[in-house]
Amino acid sequence: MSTSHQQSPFARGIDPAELVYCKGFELHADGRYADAAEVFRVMLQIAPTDERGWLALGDCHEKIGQKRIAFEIYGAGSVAAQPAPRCLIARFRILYDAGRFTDADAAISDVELLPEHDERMSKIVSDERRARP
Amino acid sequence: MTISSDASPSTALVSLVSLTSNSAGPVSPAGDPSLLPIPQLGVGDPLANLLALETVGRSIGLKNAIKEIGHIRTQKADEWRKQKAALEKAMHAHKKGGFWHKLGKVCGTIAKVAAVVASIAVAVCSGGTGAPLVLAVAAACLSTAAFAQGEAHILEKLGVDEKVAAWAEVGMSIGAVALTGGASLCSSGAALTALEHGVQVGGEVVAIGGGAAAIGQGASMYEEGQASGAEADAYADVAKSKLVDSHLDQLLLTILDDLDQNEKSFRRAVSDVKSTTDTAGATLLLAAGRV
Repeated sequence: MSTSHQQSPFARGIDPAELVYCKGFELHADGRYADAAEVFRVMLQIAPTDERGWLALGDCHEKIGQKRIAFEIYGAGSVAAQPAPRCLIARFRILYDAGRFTDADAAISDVELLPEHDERMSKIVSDERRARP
Repeated sequence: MTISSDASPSTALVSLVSLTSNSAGPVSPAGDPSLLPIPQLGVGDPLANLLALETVGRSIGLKNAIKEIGHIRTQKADEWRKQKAALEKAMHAHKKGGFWHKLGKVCGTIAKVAAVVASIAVAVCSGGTGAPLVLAVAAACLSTAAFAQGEAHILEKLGVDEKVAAWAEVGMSIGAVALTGGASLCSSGAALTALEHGVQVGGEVVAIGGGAAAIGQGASMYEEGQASGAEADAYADVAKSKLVDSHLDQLLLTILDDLDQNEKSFRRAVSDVKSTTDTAGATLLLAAGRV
């Protein structure tokens, strides 16, 4: 058996959460936010420490205008799925758009303080800061 | 800007679902780039996809997940029953001009406090089972309720005017705030906003003491004199209806059933593919023998 085969996703199996996320992502991309939210809720039960589930569920609420709910979901996600830089960035966006600039700045600064903060995340943060100076 | 192409270390997977070619993910109406990472699953050979599904079936995967969700659902149903009983008792006292009535506006915040108590209770009762899962369950409650209200305007249909319904949505937020507060019980290092911290303190007091003063304290921390008494009473009535309906339990049950059915369907499909593959192999052998 070749090494490449051993390292293939086949050999390692499939993360059930990935399957669920994939389905939710599809629904989200189709604009079916209520259906997508149901799927992401299931995903969170399977993988509560996966940041993507929190982020996606919050985004579903944002898409139907429930920014406050989304904000709290991102907050819970940033606790449950540490580190959760994208949840923090999502919170930053909501805070900034609500005019709470000091809180927004604190939120995005938290991303930079994460131990896992790397070059790619630096670029994301700098782009966000440019978009919302 | 594309910010969604990271790969979770636990997920490097094969194709199961064809996705759109939008590699940057959906873009928000405001023009912000999506933060949602692209799923690791790409497009691949259909047979390989089905075999991959079999791998899922063999692993602890969905089966255990379904069991886990079922267990959570049972626990949550118990919590809801307790909460409903407490709420009905409190509302009965209010109608008789008793204790709750004397506390004035506190009654209007029963539903909100109940949400805090439920969330904190879940956090406390689950003990070592892990804060993330507790948060996930509570978030599902919040999300479901918010979606139901946001899309179907349930409260308005129940006769609640628009203004009160708007307050109810804010009330739902306290559940979420309590989520963070509940989590902080397990994770003292988490940073909280001032409001979240206030609710956390209130929630702790409610969970530990359970007395009227504590409820008033927890409620007043959140309420800050914003809702009128009439609005609050109406909201409490709606909260009761929502609890009686147990909409959330039904939803979770449906999701569970769907998951279960999907898995059975996958297994049948994989079995069919295996048969096809075996037939193809036998045919090849026969053909090779003749050559």
